[in-house]
Amino acid sequence: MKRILKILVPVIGGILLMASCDKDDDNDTTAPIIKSATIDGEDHDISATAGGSITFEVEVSDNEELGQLKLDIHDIFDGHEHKSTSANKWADVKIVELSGTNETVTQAMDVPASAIAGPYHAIISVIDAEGNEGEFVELEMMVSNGSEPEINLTNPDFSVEVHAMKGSTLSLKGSVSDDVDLAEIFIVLEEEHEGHDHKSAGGEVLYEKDFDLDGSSDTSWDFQADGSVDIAIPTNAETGHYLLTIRAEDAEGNINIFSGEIHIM
Amino acid sequence: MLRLLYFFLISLCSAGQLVAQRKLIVEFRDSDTKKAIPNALLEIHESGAHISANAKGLCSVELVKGNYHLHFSATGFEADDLDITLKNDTSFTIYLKPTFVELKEVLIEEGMSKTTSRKLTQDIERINISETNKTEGATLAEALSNVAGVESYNTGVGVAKPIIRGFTATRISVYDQGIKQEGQQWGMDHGLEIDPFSATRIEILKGAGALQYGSDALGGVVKLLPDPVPDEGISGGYTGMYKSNNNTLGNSVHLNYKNDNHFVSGRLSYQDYDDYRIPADEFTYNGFVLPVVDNRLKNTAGQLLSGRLTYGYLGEKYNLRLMASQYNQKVGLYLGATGIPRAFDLSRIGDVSDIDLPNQDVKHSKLYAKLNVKLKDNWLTTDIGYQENNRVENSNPHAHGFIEIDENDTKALGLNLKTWSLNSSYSWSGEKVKYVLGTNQQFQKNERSGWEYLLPDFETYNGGVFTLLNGDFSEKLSWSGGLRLDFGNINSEQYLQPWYNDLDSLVERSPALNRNFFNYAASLGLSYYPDESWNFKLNLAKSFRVPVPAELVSNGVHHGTFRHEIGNPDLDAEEGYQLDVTAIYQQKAFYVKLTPFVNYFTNYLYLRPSGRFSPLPDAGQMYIYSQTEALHMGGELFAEVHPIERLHISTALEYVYNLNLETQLPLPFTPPLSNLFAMEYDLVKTSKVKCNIAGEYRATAAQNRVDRNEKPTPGYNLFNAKTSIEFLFWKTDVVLGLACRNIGNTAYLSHLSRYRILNLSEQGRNFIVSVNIEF
Repeated sequence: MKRILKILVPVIGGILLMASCDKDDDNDTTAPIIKSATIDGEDHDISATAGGSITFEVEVSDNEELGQLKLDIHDIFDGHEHKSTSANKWADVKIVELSGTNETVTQAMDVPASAIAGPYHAIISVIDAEGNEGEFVELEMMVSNGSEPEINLTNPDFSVEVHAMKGSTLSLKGSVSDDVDLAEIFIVLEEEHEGHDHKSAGGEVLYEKDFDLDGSSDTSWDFQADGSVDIAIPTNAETGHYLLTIRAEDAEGNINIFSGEIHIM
Repeated sequence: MLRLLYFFLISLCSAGQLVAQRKLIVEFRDSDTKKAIPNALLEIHESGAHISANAKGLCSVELVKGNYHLHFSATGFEADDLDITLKNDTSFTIYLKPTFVELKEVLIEEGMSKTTSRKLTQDIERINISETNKTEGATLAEALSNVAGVESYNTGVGVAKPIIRGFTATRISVYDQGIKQEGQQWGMDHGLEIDPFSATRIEILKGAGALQYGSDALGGVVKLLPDPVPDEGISGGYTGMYKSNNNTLGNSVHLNYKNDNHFVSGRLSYQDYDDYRIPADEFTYNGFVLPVVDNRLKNTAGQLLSGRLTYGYLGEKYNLRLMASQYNQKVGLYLGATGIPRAFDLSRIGDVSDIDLPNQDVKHSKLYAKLNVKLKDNWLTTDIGYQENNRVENSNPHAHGFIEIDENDTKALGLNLKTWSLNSSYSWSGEKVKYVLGTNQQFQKNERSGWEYLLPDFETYNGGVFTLLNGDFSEKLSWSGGLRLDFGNINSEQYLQPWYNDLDSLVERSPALNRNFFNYAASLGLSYYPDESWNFKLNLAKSFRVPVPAELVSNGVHHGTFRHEIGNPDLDAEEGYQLDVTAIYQQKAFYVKLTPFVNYFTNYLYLRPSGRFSPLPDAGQMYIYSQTEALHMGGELFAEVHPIERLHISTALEYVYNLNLETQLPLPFTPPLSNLFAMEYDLVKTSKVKCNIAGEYRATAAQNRVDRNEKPTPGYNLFNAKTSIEFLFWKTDVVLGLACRNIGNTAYLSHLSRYRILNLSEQGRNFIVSVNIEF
């Protein structure tokens, strides 16, 4: 019966050897790269108007052969889990064919006149001809349509750098107004994550309040008279940059967001 | 398996000729000392009945005349088995060989060929999961991953599916008792819907199993054997556990009642856990650093409720088991797993114990009957099953672009799969050859619902007939062979859907399809056992697998990977040639096993990136099911040594190498090289009290052999420890356990995890306290 082994061992060994000789032909697994991406020349604080248009400019490269570029627009209204009922959210997809190893794509996209005002994302992604996927780029933009709530903050004055001392009280003053009913006002003051991208807050929250305006004639809302927004800065708060965000939504679903940086010391 | 020495002492006809019952008396003796073995166990394969030996090592049972397969086992001894033809009152002495190698103590042999393990031409791993071991893994798949060559693919802590040698999903079969578990197992993030507490005795076949178990089993089979027939009267037990990492509370109660030939047993299990903790407070995704607040993964809590009821009848000429079970699991999914993770979502952890959106809610119901009937002297085994898998994936419709849909309608995807199964086999022995003739029949009906689309409504039929043969060339060489013919039909309906928010439009998501598949599988094997120490096995199989509807007609976006996965209706069946080799060497205190394998697929089905983007919003590249030639090979090395009786040391190494011969890239999701080193020491080992301590060290190498767009994963080292004490208290057997998993709170990425793509580390340090009481 050792005969069987004598036959088997070389057979199995042979197969193992054959397979371990990895055919290292140049198999392209290198992902393409988005070198830069802008909307109307900007990569942050982008704004767009319903009925107007925006222009993407995206520079891409690949080691061998580029494939396709995808531009995907969708709203980010649900970030604070509010009731969004509007059907006129802007969503659009454009796929652009690419070739060569370097290309700069200029692509215009219309913003529908009926688009609901608010924050939107544009996701820009690239693949090469072999199907290797590059890292995507995400741009945030605010769309306005003239019907969104207007946020008028008179105190603090964000035209200069805003400082707040620990132990003091920061009183927001001013008002939010709209041509139709206001539905919700959400205010949050939270620490910005250090060194990371500008979008990710997520540190210590000093103030967070959601004002649900269920009345029928709330076309104006005052930070003091209606909201009493007095933010007590704790004495043990961490020193650093904090982000104040005011998000206002009206009955039609139009959203406006104000954000400003406060230095707590 | 070591050789068993047995002698037929007496085989005399007696006055029992007129009555149907024949008396069988078995005497158990130690093969070294020739002393009687008290409390040894005789199990009759055909009925599952077991009889304990008395203090003199004697047990007796009355059976009708016919052919029986007997199992002999005793703690501290090598188990063995024997085929007998009972014509008259018979008694004999069985000599069992003492061993320290614990794994081999109990032999449960449920294979259809009813042959001894040494003569089998494929190696079958047998695992007994004690009640306390059940508490270690959160899922059944995880509990199996200590076996060399077996891994689990995890989605968080509550959802897992077994991987055998890199094969998973539709390439392995899980048999719960006599029927194949049918959920939506093609999906990588769909778990195995079986209560981890309900599985006690498990057999794992690594390698080609398609012949007996159907075409899906070409990569391997996990077989959960029925619980043993309970002792006379009332018996039962309770297992409770607590896990510190995510506040898991687990409870399982089982009760049995046996009266003469009838028995009933039931089990009820419940588990509830919070969001789990990882040893990291942030992770990097697509260049963004995102927070992990309080080290907890948001929305990974879950709960599981399951129950099972069995009735059994042990007759002389037939025996019957009826079983009904229900499994309900609801588990949250990490937000980043179904879309781009966002800082504003992740920065608020919320309630750590609730199950928010997105989540999956799975209910699996099963009815099952097993009937063994004695026809003349041989046995016909029939398993009939009906199961319904009801899977609902919930998420916010607006998060996926369905803005026309009411936000309260969270049912993204519903899949209801009903499966009717019938398996039957008849075995008999000829002069020199043992024969098995069998069939597997299965009909499935799938119905979809929800506002997302993935799979159409479909019906499938699979039917196979097979024959297995085995025999001995000599006293040292056995052979086996078999042939199977299979027919499969897939009939799926066309599906039209409005194009997202353009409600008046209709686009075809899946075409109508009606395809038949016809093919054969075959195998040939040898087992050579020149002496008591060595055993060599060789098995060559030609396998094929009928494509599943997901491979032919699916069309949907996998959120999380953003892949738009599309079936290809023109795919051929998967076909391959599989060679499995086993070499075993063993001594009383030493055991080593090497199991290399080589599989060559002339046609292998996989998802291939197309180089084209999906036109759907919120979706990435289109991945299309494709076919290729592929090579798949590797092996496991297991060794166990006992320098002294109380000390057990074992090591289990596993490796898989594969290659897509068309792209010259590895196949997707290949398990990395890894080794599990374990030591266990019995501090106290008396008949009244047992206490041991154990440590485990798992070393996993980096996996750099990855398919296109799959991320390489660095290697890691993990340490686990446990201790348990077992004692008798008020006539009940009590086991208290304390374990710690991931002692170092090591942050590591698992290559085989759905959350790998997010660069999320796996579960951190976890203390597990468990109590088990059996009476």
